[in-house]
Amino acid sequence: MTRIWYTSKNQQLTSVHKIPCLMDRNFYNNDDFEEFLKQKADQHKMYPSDRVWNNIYSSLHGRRRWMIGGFALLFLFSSLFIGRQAVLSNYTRVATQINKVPASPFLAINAGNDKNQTKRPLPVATDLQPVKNNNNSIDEQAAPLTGSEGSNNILSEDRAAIITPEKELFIIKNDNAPVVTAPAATDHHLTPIPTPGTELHEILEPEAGKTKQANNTDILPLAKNKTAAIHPAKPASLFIQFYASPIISYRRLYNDAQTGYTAPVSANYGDNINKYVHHKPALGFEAGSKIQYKLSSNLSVYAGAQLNYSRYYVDAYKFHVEKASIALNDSRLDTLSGYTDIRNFSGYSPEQLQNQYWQLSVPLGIEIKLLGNKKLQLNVAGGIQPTFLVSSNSYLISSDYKNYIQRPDMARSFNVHTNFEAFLSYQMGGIRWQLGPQFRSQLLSSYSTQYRVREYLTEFGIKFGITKSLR
Amino acid sequence: MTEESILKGCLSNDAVAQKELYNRYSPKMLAVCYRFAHNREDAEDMLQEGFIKVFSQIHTFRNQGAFEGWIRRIIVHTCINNLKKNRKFNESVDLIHATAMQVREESVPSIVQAKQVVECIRILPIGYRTVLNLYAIEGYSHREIGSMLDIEESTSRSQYTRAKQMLEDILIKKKILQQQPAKKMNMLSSFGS
Repeated sequence: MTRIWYTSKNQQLTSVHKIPCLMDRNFYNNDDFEEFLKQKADQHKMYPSDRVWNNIYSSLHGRRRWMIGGFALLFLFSSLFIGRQAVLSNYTRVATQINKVPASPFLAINAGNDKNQTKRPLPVATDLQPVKNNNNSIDEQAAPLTGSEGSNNILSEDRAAIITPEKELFIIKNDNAPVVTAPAATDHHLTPIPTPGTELHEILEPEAGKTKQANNTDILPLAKNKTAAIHPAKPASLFIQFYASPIISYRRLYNDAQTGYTAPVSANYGDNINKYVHHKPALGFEAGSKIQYKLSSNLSVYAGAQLNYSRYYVDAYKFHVEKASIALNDSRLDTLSGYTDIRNFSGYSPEQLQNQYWQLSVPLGIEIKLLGNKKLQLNVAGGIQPTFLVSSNSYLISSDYKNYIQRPDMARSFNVHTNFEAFLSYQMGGIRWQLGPQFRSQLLSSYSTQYRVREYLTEFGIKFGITKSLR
Repeated sequence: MTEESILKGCLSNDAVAQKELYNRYSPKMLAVCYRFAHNREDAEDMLQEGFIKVFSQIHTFRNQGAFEGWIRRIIVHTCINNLKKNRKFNESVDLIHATAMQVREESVPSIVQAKQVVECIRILPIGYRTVLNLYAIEGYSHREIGSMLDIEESTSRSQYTRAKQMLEDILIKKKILQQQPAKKMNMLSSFGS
């Protein structure tokens, strides 16, 4: 028996449907049936969710971005560490050179940090105690000779250390004691100085019979005649700061009016795009560290590494999947298109989108002390921040402003920010605490120059930080 | 963007070109994945995996055939590997179980046209569906299907025959295909010509 098969919807017949296959059960025109299936299957299209492309994009480009960011961060911290070590070893070398000055019986290292000490008269030793030296050499890295604030736990402001040719370390207890004098060194080894944290009384414990009682006359003639180096008390000049701040982000949008290209898709809503988008600020954060170098008592410069997480909400609507186009400032590519189920104006249900950016930046700038004393200060700071975009998840508005579409590939990888902050700082122990408002602004658009809509983020935050001197 | 410029861009790992390629082919390829997969979520996972392979192996495309066909082959192989990996495929290629299956009319979704046919295909047991997809729609031979699915060529043939019978039943029950008098067929044939 011959049977004829065709589709039930005669009114929609196509050449495919008109196959009506001559079919006998289990014995019919295979080719026609297969062609029918094939063409029906080929007509079927489905639109994947944004998740799929985002995952593909992260898989192809995300890892690379995080790797670059990681290496950048590693490089920065390594540089900071090496820089610090270099500064410290340089300082130790200076101390060693001082030790090499000939015909000087003593080397004194001033431990004070008061600038006024330089104006004081030459030291008068009133109480001199030796420290036994069991080790004839010194590890310059392990025991740097430092005389600056915060890093010398052995020598307090009213004491100076003297290293004799016999390799004994003396502490001069003297209210006026700043300074001075030189070692007579045939042997250039320095007496090991205890690491920070060692109790002073342990160092000063004299051995029986070895205590020398020094008086003014023991030292003064030598000091007067053979002063090798006078080190005025030097305030700390290198600091490290760690900081964090909650931030809220706002954005400004501009139409790119400079384009001369004609695009097939254009908006009919006028120039000010900000009238047609609705966004709400959202909470992000900023964290980082920087090295600060004091040029004078009121002015310092800094460089560091910083991580920013910025985001904001965009009000939109859910709708069925439709095509959205983005006109480009590029005569070759002209227009990009994609599918989206997010609308800007009207749709089935309200939807809140979230645009997010992870950025690594290198803050460079200056800090100025406006008011205050050593304890409490009012400061301002500002500078620029070359920024690398590690990751982003943002929706772009289509050229007709009707849809939002995800195009992470349109995000700009490198950007520049400026920042300004004012803060109160308070010195407590060896740490300076600070708190104050800050402002950060993006100089280049978040998106590539091809995208005609330019976005500039502005961030506000309350920054909290702690600063510690390195030397 | 032309296909050539997309290809060039993808070769230089340009994200804009990659997105263009994805936008152009993902709707069709998701439909391919959907015919093999258990649900839409699985299909999207297959699509994702497939496109990552496409972008990472694009340098192997020799321009000796249609670009779409090349992408489609990668996607189909990804789907098959995925089914095999999940072991759901092997468990489902149980001929006795499959032939005993009754197609209930209410299980056929009431959707239209192409989607309707695709949904009917998806009602088939996964073993039948896979063979039918590969043979009737993707155009693989039974020998190729045998090696892809690790089954005998003859098994592929018999499964296809049964799959076709079952699909036919489904299409009749859904009234997508109708039995008509021979004269009507002649009329339709004249329209077609």
